[in-house]
Amino acid sequence: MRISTIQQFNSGVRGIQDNYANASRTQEQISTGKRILSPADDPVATVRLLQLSQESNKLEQYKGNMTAANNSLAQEEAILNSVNNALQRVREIALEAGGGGLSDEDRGALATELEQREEELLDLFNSRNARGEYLFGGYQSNEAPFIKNPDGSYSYQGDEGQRSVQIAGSKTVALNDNGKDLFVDVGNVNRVLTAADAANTGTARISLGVVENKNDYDQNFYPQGSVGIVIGATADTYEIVDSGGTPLVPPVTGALEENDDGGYNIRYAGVSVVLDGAPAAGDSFTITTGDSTATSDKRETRGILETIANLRETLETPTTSSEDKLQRRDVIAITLDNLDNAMNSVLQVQTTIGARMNVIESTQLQNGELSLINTSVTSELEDLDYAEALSRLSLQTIVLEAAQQSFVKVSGLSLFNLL
Amino acid sequence: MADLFGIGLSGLKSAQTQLSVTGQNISNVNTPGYSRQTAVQSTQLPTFTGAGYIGNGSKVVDVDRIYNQFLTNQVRSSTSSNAEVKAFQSQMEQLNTLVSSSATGITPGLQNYFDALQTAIEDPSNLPARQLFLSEAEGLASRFNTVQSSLAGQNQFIGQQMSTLADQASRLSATIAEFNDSIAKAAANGAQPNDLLDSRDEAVRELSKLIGISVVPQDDNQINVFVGSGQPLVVGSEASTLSVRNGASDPSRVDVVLTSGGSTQDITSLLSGGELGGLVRYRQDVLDQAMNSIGRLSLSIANEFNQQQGQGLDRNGNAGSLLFNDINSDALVDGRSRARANNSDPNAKLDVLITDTSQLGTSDYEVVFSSSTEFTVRRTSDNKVTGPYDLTSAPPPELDGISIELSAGSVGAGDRFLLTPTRYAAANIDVVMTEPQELAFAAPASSDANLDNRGTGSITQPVLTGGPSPIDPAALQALLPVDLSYDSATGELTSSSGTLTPSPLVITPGQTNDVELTVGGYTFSMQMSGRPKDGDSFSVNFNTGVADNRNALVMSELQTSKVLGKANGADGFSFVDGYGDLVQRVATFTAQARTDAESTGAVLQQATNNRDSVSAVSLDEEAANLIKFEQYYNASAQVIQVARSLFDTLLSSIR
Repeated sequence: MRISTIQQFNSGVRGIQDNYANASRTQEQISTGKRILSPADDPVATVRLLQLSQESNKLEQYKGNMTAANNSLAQEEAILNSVNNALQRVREIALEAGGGGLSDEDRGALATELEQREEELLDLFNSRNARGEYLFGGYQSNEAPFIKNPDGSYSYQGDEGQRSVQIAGSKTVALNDNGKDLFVDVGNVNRVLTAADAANTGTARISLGVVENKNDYDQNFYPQGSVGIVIGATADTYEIVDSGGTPLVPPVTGALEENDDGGYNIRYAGVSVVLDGAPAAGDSFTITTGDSTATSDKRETRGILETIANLRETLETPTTSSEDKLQRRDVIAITLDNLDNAMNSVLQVQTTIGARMNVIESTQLQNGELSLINTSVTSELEDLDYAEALSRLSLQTIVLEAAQQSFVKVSGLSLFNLL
Repeated sequence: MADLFGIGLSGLKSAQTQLSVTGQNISNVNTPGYSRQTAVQSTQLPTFTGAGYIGNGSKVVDVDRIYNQFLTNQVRSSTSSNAEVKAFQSQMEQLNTLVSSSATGITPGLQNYFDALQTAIEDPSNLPARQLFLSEAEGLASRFNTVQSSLAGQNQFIGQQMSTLADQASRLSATIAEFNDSIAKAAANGAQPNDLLDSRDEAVRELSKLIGISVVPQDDNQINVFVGSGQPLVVGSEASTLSVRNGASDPSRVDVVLTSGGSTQDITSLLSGGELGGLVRYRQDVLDQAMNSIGRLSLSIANEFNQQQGQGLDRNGNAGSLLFNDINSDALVDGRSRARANNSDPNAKLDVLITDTSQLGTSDYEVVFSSSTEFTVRRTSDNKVTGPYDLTSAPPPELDGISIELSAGSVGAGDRFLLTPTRYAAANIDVVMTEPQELAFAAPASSDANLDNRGTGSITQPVLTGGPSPIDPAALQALLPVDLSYDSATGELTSSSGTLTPSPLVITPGQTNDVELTVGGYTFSMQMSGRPKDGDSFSVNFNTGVADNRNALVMSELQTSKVLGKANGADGFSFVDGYGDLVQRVATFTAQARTDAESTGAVLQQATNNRDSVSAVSLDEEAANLIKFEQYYNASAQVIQVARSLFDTLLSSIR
């Protein structure tokens, strides 16, 4: 084939240019560590990389969310521990106050401590986080959820809101719990009204009613609304009658059996009362379901603070009559039951907090693994195989050098040089 | 002897001519398009003598150029396609970098935006976190603006380039026409004007680099040059002019027009090949698509977030206001339709409103009126024609998520409008919210259980699933609270106002029951679980909480929800996939352009090699020729010398 001079130069230069372009591309790959320098190098991998980048970005977000959730839950748990400790102490005070050998002054001292505990608990219920937001107000984080009214009662200003954050593709975790569930919505055992008939001839007093078995009460007592206890003709038995005084069908009767304290326990449909003193034949007593007005103390639920305030007020009252003593005994017994309910309520939430933290921990592990897979896939897609690239570069350099040297040699060959 | 003198002299002359042809070749070794020449030598007519014919020396009869029409044509056509691909590729590479770079691409902005949202979700009442989200929204909007303005800048730059190229092409056409004239005159005597022909070929080659052409030779050594589908650029010694003007349907883009004699013709859509062809192809196949795709994404983001804003309450208890500007605001609607310049009423204006961003495509549309009210719509991406539609129908006709209505003037049969619903959207996306308190992160309602409930029944927080957008908090406040109470005798849940679905709503204790409450046009959905007891009640209240993040959680789901491209029941894709789709298309086009550039480059190289192998000058060859013809000259001179010495011998013998 005939080779013209221009051809010889063109192909020589083009060869050098091509080789130089290859070598410089490899060099760029090596200096960036990336196989893909622009999307066009591998369109399919680029789109996959976009998705992976969004994925790992979201995992980062979840990581931040989990840290925040952990902080917030840990803080809540710490506060609930303090609440529990305070409740324990209140329980001890209640037990101590029940002791027979105490004077009014001793009880006054206990009442003073109770007041302190009451305030401590109010402060705990109104805890705030580092940003000054109230923890137990539900969605209402900018106002104190618990307020002491002028009459000594408490009201809850928050709602039942619960805030969640996303911690994985389809997993959310709650950051907080509302004060209503925790501290207000606590089962009250003293949800029935008891009364003695004014026409009774005996000296018997009926105690405050205690609901011992909520299921039994809900199923058998609540539908009747009100029942009566009528003492039998020999004054050693009793019969339960309906609100109109008619005996139940089938009849419910029992013997009055004296207990250790000289009273008579009567249990019916989950409700327990004590008759103290001497009932006379034909005496009657009534037990009525509590009402649900806000001021009533016979509601289904009683807030922790109300329970404590109730006990404190009882202890502050000086004892003069035996009626007062019995009243105090009843109140202390009810307080103890209600405190147990309260501690259960707190414990339940503490358990869910623990569960949530466990979920966070396992999700962290899971997300960490996902992250690792993401990273390795990303690296597989876009990172450079250095060994391959370096050997490629050295080959390309050799070829480039050869192209340059051969070009100089060949272009120097001209017949004119010999003329 | 006189003969010998004559013969020697003819040899000298021939050798001289040969040497000058060689010199010409050597001096033009670097002249583009030069074809090497050779002198064709033949013997002079012999003289008849008794001894037979005796030669009379030699003569040069012609100077030929070594030339192959086929190879030259090949070079020309491969130059044309290579220039087209390279022009296309160089634009593609720019776009490729633009969409993928972390400084200019949309993806990083989108990620920061959702990151900030997550931070705000964790603590919705925190103003700095809200402010951050708002700032990231502004950052995202400005990224869209930047990408769009880069694309618009590219469009403008392409326009300028096309103008320059058209000028160059016009000049080259004029040059070719002049060459035609000169060649016709020079060739009249029968000899080939080699250098003129080479120069004209070179001019044609240069022209083919600018624009795809076809060349038709004429009888008188002239050539005619045509562009597009046969529009004459050069006919004999007459050349037409190429120029650009603002597009009839879209003034932001230039069209290429051919002016020949008194008539002007738009040949933009007919162009192929050459740099002009490459630019037009890029603009049509890639740039418009990219702008539309970016525009659609920005419309969707603005719309989805504005909609969700309208479903929640801000920190002050008001309905969420617009985060981004309204996608159907005047500024955005303005650029979506453009009337043809020769429509019957120059003031007629079509308004294109976007009714559903999830149905939007990335195509443009052409509206053609067949009467003053009836029109058909052609989707330019696949040329699918739909219609006829009636302009007067109410609601206005809708297709692919857009609605079309006449906002000013009147239309008549034959009027045409170009609709670009998504083209300029990314330029106008803007954050209109100024106060971070206005971000509607809270849901409008919350639920509450009565403290005196005896059962364990509980109800989830209500989710607004239906109702006007944006919501009317005042109206909602008047409608709520609604009390739901449970009756164990019938097992039903009843509401104090509004209606519950299903009706009657029988609760299965111990299971999760769906509860849907519709009150005053608002629909809330909840779930009841546990075992409620007779008379237990729950209330749905107007939400006044500032620490609620439920609406923000719904917003964050937009990061992965499939909100784009749901036309014709398609499954759709998310924001990032919508952008990924564009990146992939651009990347694929670029990769293809690179391969094309390589292959057309190789073809061009081969064609050039073939042509050069035949026609280009080889210095070695010329050096050999120099020696050869120098010796020839010397030898011829020797012949004269011998003749002279013969003559001298004769003279001296007479003396």
